[in-house]
Amino acid sequence: MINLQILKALNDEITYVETLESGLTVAIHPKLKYQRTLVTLQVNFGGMDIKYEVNNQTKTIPSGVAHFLEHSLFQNNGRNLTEEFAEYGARINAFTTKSITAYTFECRNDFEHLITYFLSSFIKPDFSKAAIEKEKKIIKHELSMSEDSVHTKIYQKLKQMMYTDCAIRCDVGGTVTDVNKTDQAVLNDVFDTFYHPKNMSLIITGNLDYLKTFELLRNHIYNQHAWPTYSEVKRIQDNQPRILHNYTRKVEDVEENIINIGIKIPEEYFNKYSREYIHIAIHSIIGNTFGLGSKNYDYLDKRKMMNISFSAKSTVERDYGFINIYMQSKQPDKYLKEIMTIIRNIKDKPLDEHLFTINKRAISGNYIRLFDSLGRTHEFISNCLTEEVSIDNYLNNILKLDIKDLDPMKQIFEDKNIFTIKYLKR
Amino acid sequence: MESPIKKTINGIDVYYIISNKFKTVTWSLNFMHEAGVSNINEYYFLSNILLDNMKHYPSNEKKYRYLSYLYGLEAFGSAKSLGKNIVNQFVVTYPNELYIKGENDLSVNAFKFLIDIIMNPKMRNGNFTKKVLNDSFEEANQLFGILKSIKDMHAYYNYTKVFYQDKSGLEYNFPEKELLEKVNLETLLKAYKDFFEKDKISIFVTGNIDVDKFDNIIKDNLPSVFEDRNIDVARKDFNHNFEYIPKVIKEYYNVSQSRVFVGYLTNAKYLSNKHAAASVFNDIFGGFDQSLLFNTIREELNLAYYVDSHYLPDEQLVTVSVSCEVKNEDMVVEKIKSILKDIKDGNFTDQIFNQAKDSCVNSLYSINDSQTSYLLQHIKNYQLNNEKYDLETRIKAYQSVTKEDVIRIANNLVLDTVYIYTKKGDQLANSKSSK
Repeated sequence: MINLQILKALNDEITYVETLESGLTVAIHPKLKYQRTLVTLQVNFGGMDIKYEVNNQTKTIPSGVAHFLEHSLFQNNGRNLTEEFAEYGARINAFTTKSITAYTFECRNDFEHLITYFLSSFIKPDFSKAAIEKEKKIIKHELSMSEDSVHTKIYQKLKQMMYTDCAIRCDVGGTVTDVNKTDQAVLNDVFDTFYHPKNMSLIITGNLDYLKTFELLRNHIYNQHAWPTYSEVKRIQDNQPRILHNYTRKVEDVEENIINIGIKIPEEYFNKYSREYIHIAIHSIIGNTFGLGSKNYDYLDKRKMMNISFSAKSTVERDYGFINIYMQSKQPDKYLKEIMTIIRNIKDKPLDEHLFTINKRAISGNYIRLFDSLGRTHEFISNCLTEEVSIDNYLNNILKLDIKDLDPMKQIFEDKNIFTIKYLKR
Repeated sequence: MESPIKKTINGIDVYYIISNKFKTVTWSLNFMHEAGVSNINEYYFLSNILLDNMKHYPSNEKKYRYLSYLYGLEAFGSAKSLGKNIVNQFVVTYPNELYIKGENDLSVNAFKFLIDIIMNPKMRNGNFTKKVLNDSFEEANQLFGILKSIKDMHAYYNYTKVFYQDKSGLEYNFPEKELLEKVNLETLLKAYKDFFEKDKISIFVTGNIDVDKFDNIIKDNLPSVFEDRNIDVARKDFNHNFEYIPKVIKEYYNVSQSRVFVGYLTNAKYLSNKHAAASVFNDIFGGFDQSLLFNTIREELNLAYYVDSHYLPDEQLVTVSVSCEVKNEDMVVEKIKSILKDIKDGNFTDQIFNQAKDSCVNSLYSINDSQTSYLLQHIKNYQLNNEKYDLETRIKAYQSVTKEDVIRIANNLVLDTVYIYTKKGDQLANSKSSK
């Protein structure tokens, strides 16, 4: 039975969603005035999935396998996806995050041929030994590139201070030792476990006929394939309490002292609240406390404690999250003292109600504008599916939020969740 | 999208680019300065100073809250080179009021804010304050500090310094470090006055807009001190000489991977009859995921994870960038040269030639999918050539490129710079040497 949902992100921005017989969720957002079409196949399998229970069996895989599999799927069954897509003037790419693996392509012509070819590559892969060995070399090159970034080193250190489990603290690409351990058997096993249509979603945005496309997908060999029954996967993590909250190092390869503060969102919040709420609440609190319109920003700016290097960002993944406040400063201790006072005050001091209210106008405006970009529209729908956010209520959920609704999230700003790193110029 | 409508309002050229495809309205107010490098840092500083020091918005708090009230209006300024000239561009962008129930004044308020940026900076006794200038110096130094901490950016910056060291005129990067000492309050004020006394001024508006309404907004709010002037636009024209002895520089830093840049000078200039062929050449060389550089250096030889080439028509420059192991850097440079020789000799398949052409044509079509890209192409073309950006003509030019055109472009490349950002040993980290 066809069960097509029609979701209106705006009156003229409509997403059609259907779960196919195979279990694959498909979201199509037509943009008929645009030249290109963007496609993403996302798998609910990412860099943090290294220990899990499936069919009453506990499995531990080397770190970086999701990323390795992403690389390997470009060359399987003797086919090269990049070459095939280039033949049609289309571009294909992929990325792995902590929570998902995503395969994307964009084209202007031959959409039906490309989507047919694309999906058929995810039914039963066959990885050659030679291809695996070649990818090992490329991935090791990729991993070594991040060794030259002091910012990556600090980010990794911050995660290591906050978490004990490699699922979170290790790089998405894994370690060189683990990359060497990855072989055909591991790749086939995780493919069978995670690359089931019920654990995946397909997002299509752009110039296409949605009815015709749904018809094509329903009849596609991928949907008709005799998939085995999907076995739910239970992820296992074991994060122990951390003792080291402050870390200082003197280094030569920084031009200015770097101060990085991490505020960990406690694990239990991810059982208690939706990922959408955590995302929105954290974003609102950061904007209200450190944003350009906040009183704190001007306070720090006037005291020369604010400059163009400052950033306050949040990471909210499937089972964990944190806030990352970064700054380069000539006066690291003075800056740290001031910013820590502000952070510690969040828990008990009221947020700025005027800023909270007026920010909603900015959010409404930015929301309307996001649909001007094919890429941002596509990303929005992809994120909504990953985070189980309702596409048609996303804006309303933000606008109806009361400042008091942020109170539970304000409680995370206490010393036990705060970690600091200082990289001082030697 | 429709063709731009050109009008003259209160003596200033106004261009409307109307499209019902987008939900955003963007205004761009442009000041083109006379050719030359002398005020490069002042113009760069002013692009930030005017935005960050508005008399009517003495604090970030006040300004940001007003911008939020205007539905998150974004305002930004930039200083860019256009040929041998510099253009200061001030832009405001916001959601079209057609999509906001009960909102009618957003566009007029947006334009007033844009004018306010230019007309009402915070000043004391008719000049910018010392604090404002010192903040700009500090910001420039922070920028250089950040640049140095990001190895890929730092290596590329150093490479461009080497490329331009024997070329006159504007470089690609702003601010210009070597000229910072010459900036003072007097030169800053003089540069600001250029906006009103010397520059060519133009306004571009794009979105789903009612021209009559926007005519009135401009008529009612454009200050009388804005006067249009004609400015000679001087294109860059670097000496293209086959006898040129390339600059080969190695610099040593604390890195684990070498960054290799190989720069070639072309005689294919922006929108010349060689431009399309040079773009197709670049894609075949290293510009897309089936390029010869990518397939050979990464896929076949596994010498690098990252390798590509890009063509900057304004700078007559094709740059190959590679990140590789230190021990492989010389081999990589030789491989780049040998792949170029293959193209010069016509040793590339029809398949890659056709794919590269398709890739270029698709990139051009995608300009239509971005309001900002489409606007920027028009601004650049009107300022350089006084004509609209004609996408269809550009596409036809790409479609008619032949293999022989590509071979000709390859044979006209002159090796200008080989720059390697690498490590030697710990004892030499951060030292520099040239050969």
